[in-house]
Amino acid sequence: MSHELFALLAESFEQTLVMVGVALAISTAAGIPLGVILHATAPRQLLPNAAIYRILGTVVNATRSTPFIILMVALIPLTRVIVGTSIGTPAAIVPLTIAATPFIARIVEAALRDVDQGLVEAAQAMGATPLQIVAKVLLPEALPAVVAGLTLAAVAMIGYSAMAGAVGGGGLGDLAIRYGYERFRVDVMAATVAILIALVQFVQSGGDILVRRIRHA
Amino acid sequence: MIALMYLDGRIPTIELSGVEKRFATPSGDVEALRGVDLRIDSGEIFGIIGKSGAGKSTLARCINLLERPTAGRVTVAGRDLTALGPSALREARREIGMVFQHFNLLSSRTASRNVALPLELAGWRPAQIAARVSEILAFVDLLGQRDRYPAQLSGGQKQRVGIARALASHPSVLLCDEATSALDPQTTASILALLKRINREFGLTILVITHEMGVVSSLCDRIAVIEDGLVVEQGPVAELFARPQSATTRDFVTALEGMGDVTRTLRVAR
Ligand SMILES: Nc1ncnc2c1ncn2[C@@H]1O[C@H](COP(=O)(O)OP(=O)(O)OP(=O)(O)O)[C@@H](O)[C@H]1O
Ligand SMILES: [Mg+2]
Repeated sequence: MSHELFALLAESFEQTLVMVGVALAISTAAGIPLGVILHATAPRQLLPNAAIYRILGTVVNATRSTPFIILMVALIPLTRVIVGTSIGTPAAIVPLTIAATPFIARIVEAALRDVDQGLVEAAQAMGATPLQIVAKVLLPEALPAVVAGLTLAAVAMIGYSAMAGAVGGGGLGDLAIRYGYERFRVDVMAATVAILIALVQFVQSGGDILVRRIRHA
Repeated sequence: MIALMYLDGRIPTIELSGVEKRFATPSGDVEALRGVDLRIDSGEIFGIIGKSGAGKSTLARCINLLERPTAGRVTVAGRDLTALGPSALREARREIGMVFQHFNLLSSRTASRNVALPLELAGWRPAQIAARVSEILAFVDLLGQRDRYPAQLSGGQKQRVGIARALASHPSVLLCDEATSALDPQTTASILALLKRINREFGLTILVITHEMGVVSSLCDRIAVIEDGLVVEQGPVAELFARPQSATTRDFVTALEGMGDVTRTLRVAR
């Protein structure tokens, strides 16, 4: 493997990490509160609110049902406003984040819904406020499921980031297309695929180990 | 408190008057409670027995307003809970500890942090919490298990954590809904002994809900029998068992005689 090829791979790998890492961080920060609101406002939950639940649910579903490649193109104007350009790694972070946020919100909502209702009742019997129930009961109890879900999201985002690369977002997907596909460099194609497989394996096992460590059941 | 004393000199801790609870379900309304009047005095162990679906759990949940009665009044320690706003109600609930059939411990917290939860919720300082948690864990004999997670505890140990948690914030009332129904007979006996000790040492009023005759016969001062959402009879355990009036009580006594227990109960009561 030539020195030049190695440098290319390293640079693309770093771009992929940045794209996925930043997008995952922002979408987690946004998806958790969104998931909490979805759960809390659902019928018969802590603070039922049909209007909020329905509006948020619709937005989340609409975003989730839009294919990523279309979302990416549709979001170009917004991306320009936020990062000043619609190509490059920072630009790819915008659609990636917007695609991942509703996904994570639903993961969090489902994880909170799976917490034993008896625990919520016990906390209510102790005089807990809805906010205390979320912070001290629901989120800690749902944490293993949330981490497992975030692992799932991270793996999906690695796949999406490769797609973002196809439209000039940089990263391993971009490299595979520019060299492997357009210049018939089979070695580059093979190396990118190998790195992606290793990355996904690493993320998945890391997530699994973390879940095992925080789950006390 | 003096003002609330009755002519017989006893102080009511829990008073239900005309409590009704109707659940709206897709297949029509369910009348779980149909006008329950009940007075539980300070410091007594009061049992509620009844068959499955009679409304026992609904009654217990109406006492701390986990379930809001459709009609009627619930007074605990002189406060009309049904008249309180959300924040005052949360405050009042700290007076009422609750113990659950399936323990309802947080799997993400160790035994000691489970016991700490109600104190955290009430805004205690960490040092105060630590002291109280150690004190109460020592009382239920679980200091050695304080750093274990619920998954690493036996059923009896879990229920002792549940009881410690319910006692942590110094309540005056303890509600136990089928607290021993998930436990084997030996563990049940040890939990009942613990409840008795709590009643004796702290003077706590304890409401015990059960469908197990052995529990009321060995633990309760007075009982009420509930049938289809109504209290059909109430009184001291020995009296009720000696002269059962309702079909439910007769069935329970028959079941107890089957266990060869009723004579012992009557002897102890005399
Ligand atoms: N949330 C609810 N919605 C609709 N019906 C309910 C609800 N909770 C209780 N019920 C009904 O109210 C009645 C009394 O139920 P409850 O749970 O109080 O009985 P129980 O005496 O505790 O029975 P068990 O011994 O089986 O625990 C039952 O008919 C039950 O189906
Ligand atoms: Mg019940």
